[in-house]
Amino acid sequence: MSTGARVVGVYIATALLWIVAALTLGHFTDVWPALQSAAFLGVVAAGQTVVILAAGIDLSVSMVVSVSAVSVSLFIGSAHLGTAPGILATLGLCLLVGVANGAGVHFLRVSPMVMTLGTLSILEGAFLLYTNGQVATGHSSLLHELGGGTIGNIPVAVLVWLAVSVVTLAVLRLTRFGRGIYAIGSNAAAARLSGVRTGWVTMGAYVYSALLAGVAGLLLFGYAGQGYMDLGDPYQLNSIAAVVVGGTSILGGRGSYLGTIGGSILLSLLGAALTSMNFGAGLRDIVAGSIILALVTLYARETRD
Amino acid sequence: MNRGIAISRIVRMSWRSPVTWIWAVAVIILGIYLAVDPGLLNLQQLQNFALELSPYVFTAFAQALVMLTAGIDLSIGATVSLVTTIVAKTGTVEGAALALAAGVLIGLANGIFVSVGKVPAIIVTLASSFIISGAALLILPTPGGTVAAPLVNFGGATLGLPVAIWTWVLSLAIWGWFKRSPTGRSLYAVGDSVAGARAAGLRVTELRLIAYAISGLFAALAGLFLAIQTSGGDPTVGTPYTLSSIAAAVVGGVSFFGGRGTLRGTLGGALIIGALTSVLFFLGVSQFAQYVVEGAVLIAALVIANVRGFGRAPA
Repeated sequence: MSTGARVVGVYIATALLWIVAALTLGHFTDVWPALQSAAFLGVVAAGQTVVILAAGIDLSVSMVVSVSAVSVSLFIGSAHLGTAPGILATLGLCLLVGVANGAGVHFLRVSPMVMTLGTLSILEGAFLLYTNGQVATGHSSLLHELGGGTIGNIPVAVLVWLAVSVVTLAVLRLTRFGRGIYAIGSNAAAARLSGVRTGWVTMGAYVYSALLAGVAGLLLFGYAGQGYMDLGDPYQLNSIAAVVVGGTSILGGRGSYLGTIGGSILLSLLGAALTSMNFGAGLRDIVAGSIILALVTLYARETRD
Repeated sequence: MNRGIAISRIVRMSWRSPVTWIWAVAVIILGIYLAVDPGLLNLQQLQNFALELSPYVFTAFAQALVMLTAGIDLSIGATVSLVTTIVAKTGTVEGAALALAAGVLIGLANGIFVSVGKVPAIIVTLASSFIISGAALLILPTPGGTVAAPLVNFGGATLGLPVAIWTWVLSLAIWGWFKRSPTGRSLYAVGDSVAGARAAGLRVTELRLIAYAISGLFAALAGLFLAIQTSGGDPTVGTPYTLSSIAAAVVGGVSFFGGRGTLRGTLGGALIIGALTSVLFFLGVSQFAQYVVEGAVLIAALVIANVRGFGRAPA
């Protein structure tokens, strides 16, 4: 199946799911709340798309989301920084994580899976050490507007996602960096030999992923008014699934963020449908995991062994 | 051959082998632990320690087996949790046997998706970890349950050495025999180069399935020991073992890209990771620091492996 076909397929599947859900559950006739939750996932998945296209993976996104939400709350709340400095400081933290990931993958030649698992673990430990596992609450009008506000009927978060999407698509299609991403994803050695600055591109990819995970964390904090350790958990598997289901090859070099957008909507819809069916936590995980497994089996088969 | 030359050859060979270095580090760390906690030399304490290390050992074995076929298993922690819930919910020895069977089935299921479904292992096992955790939550929503007395007695028994340690040795022995068999050697070949293995006529799919099934059994054994050690089940108790299994396997010299590594080395790696955690705990370092240390150790181990040319990514 070509990338284009997969992208179209995702949107068809999403539309079908929507119709089925609307008919059987009676909800989902309202588009905007569904798109709002998809926005959070979509932002994280944008970063994940870039990393996966470059034949990498970012397993640390869940903690970056959580750390971002809690950090901004602590910066603005306990540290009494203003809103803007607080946001900048938080994004600075995310930048550091991205740099660490990129440096490990490129300079230390550590496999992306291991490197990002390592930073995930370090972030978990640091987080627990610093917060003792407590929930951080706080309020920022700006973030509340961005994460939870609406303009007319349109959630602001969706507009933020729209902006991120445009930037991501433009970067991937129109810039040299974007071409470098696809080149590295296809064949890293050939990319290096043909002049792609693999160090910068790799670092850029992981920094982009960490920054966007941070943005998602900021939005989620604005939406929920709190940050806690498990906040980012759903975004780890779901961001990867959104990318893969949207037609991007897990091995890199092939795919498009357009598909990931569809994948994000599809998975958010799925999550919302499961929640509204009142499954307990255990059953929900089983069903969600099974559906994702089924989807990736249909969509993510790799004939390259 | 002259015996002196043979001996000096063996000595020289073993110092070049990474397994020896791994074990050297393991012994050092165990030595440090003994130094800070001399009470360990008591047989009762040793037996507790062995029980505590067993989940690290068996999850490491499970991960190593999958990594040998160039795969990864992110659902090992969830499998461990599930096994503890089954063991504790049933409270019988038969239940424990059922739990072990469940582990094998989970391994097979993962293997089928990877091998036959051709879905990358990382996605399969990430998704299956959700399914398995969900099942564990359904079986035992909150920690508790009882472990059958015969199992507890088994965990507490000693035959000179704690029984747990004998299970490690037995696993190594069986594996050592298996590794020399045609099937075992084929498994290494598959990890090394799937195309090459296929071209040589090896049944790649079946071999992978075997690896995943045995891996599932090891993960289940880890869960069994954990249930015995904690005298109960807990639907999330296994989560940390996913990362530690990878760290232990990597430290133990197993390569991600398949075809390289030994279970002897993995045992050493598991002892390092497990003992490190205990040493830190004993020294009063916060439990949370464990995560930080494991992450750092994992990365450091892979950097070292790369430097020595073991874990280098192709291109």
